[in-house]
Amino acid sequence: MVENRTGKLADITGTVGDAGANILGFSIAEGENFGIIRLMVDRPEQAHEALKNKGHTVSYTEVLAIRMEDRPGGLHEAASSCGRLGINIVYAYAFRNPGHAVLVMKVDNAAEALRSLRAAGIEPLDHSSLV
Amino acid sequence: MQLSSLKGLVSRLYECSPLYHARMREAGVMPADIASLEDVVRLPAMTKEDLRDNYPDQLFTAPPKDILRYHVSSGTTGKPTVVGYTRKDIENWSESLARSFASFGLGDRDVIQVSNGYGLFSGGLGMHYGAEKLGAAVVPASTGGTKKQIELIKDLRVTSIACTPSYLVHMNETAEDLGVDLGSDTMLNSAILGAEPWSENMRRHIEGRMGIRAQNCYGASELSGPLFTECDQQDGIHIWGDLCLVEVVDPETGEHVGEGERGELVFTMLQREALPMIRYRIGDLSEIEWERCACGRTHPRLQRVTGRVDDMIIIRGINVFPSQVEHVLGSIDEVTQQYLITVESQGVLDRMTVQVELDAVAFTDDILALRGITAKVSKALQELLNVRVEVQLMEPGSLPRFEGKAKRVIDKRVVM
Repeated sequence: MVENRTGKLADITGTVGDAGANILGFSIAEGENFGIIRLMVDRPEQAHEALKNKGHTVSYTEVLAIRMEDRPGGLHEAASSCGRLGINIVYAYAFRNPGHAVLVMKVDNAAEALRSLRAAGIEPLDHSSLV
Repeated sequence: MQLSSLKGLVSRLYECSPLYHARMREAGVMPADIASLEDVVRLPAMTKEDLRDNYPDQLFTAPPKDILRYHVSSGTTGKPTVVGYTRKDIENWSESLARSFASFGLGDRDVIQVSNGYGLFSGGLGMHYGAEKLGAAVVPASTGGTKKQIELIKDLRVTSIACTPSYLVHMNETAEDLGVDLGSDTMLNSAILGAEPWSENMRRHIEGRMGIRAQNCYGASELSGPLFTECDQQDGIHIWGDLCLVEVVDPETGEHVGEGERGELVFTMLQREALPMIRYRIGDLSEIEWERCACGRTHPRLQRVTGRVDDMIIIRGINVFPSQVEHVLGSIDEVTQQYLITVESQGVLDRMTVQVELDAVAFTDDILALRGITAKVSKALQELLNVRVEVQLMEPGSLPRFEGKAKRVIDKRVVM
C-alpha cells in the first residue's frame, strides 16, 4: 500500500532490488487516495522483509500463474478456460517469458481453482518454473 | 442585585450539591466568603466534564417533581449531557430571549418563524418560548422542507426568522431559484442567527442580498439554550446581568484577562434552579465590552466568538469533537488512531473528511476489502456524529506526526 506521492514507486523498487530480489511481474492499482503495488518476485521472503524494515505496508497474497501461448488468441484461450471452469478472477496481470507468456491471477477460491485447472489438464506454473 | 443572587446561588449549591460542596471545601471557600462580586474568582469552576461525569442528573439541585423539561445534547464520547429545567428556569429562559427580541424592535405584532431544530436540541423550543413570551405569533417550522418554509414566510406574513446563518443563505438561494425575493416579496425584515460561528462578512452578505437585519444570537445548551441577542445597534450581544454573570479568563491559567482582552468565556447563571452553573467554562473564545451601549443599556456586550479552547468544530450546526472521532476509530480494529479531520465549504454547506491510517496488520491487496473498511468507519462515524463524513483510508505512517499537541483538524471553510 502506498500513498499517492511522487517517488514512492522508486522507493519500493529500490528496496526490492537492494534485497537481491528480481521482479518477475508487477502491477499498480489505484485506490481512492493510495495505490496498491503488486509484485511477483523470485525471492519473496527477502523482498517482504526488506520492504517491511523500510516501514512499508506489505502483505503476501496467493496467486495462480498459468502459461499462455505467445501468439494471437493466447490470452483468449486462457480466459476461456477459466470461464468454462467457473474460476472467478479478482484481478490479473501478465508478463512475457522467452517462448511463452504468463497470466497471473488472484482468484476467489485458489484451492478449488487449482483442482479444476488440473482436472482440465492445465498445470499451473510453480515458483521454480517462473524464476 | 447580582451579588445577592450570587450569594443565594452559592449557599444553595453548598447545601444541595454534593459535588460543589466538596469542591468548595477543597478550595477553602465558604458561602460567607462571597462578600463582593469580585469574590466570584474564589469559587471553583465547572466544566463540561462535570456534566458528563454526573450523567444524567446528579448535578440537579431541584427535586424531581419540580423538573418540567429535559434537553439533551450529544456528548464527546457518545455520552450525552442532560439539562433539566424547572418552571422558573423556563420562564427565565423565555424572558431572556423575549427581552433580547424586544431590544432590536420585535414585539407582539411580529410573526416569528422558528427554523431551529425542535426536539432534544434546545434551539427550537427555546426560541419558540421566547417568541411567545414576547407575544409574537410563532410559526414552529423546525428544520428542513425549505420550499415549504418559504411558502410559510410568504403566506403567514412572517417578519422574523430564527435559524443558523448557513441555513438562511441556503433558503435565500432556494427562494431565488423559485423566483421569490425574500427581501421584497415577503414581510421578512430580520433574522435571529446563531448555533454556529459566523462573521461580519456573512452579516453584510445577508443584509445586502436579502435586505433584512441579521441579528447575532448567543447561547449554549448548558446555559439553557439560545439566550441573548444583539440590540438594534448590532454592537455586541447583551448579556442580561440579572440572569448571568460573565467573566473572561485566560484558558491556560484560568485568571481574568485584562479589560477588552480576548479569552475563554465563563458563565455563572444566577437564577438557575434545576441545573445551577457556577463559573462554567464554556470553551468559547471571545471578549466582552463593558462600556454602556449606544442603546443606553449597561449590560455587558459579548463580541463575536472567534474560536474554541478545545478543537470543537461545528458542522452544519452540529457540534463535533475530535475526541468523538477518536472514540469511533478506537472501536474499529482495522484502523489506527492516527487521523486528520478536514472541513471544507461545499457551496453553503460544510463537508467533513476524516483521513485515517490503516492498521498495517489489516492490509490486503484486495481493494474491495479496503473499501469495506472505509465504509465501516464512515458508517460508525455517521451514527455517532449525526453528520455525513467522507472517510479516506491512508497508508500507515503517511499522516503528519506531532511532537507536542497534535493538530487533528484543518478547517478550510470560507467564512462568507
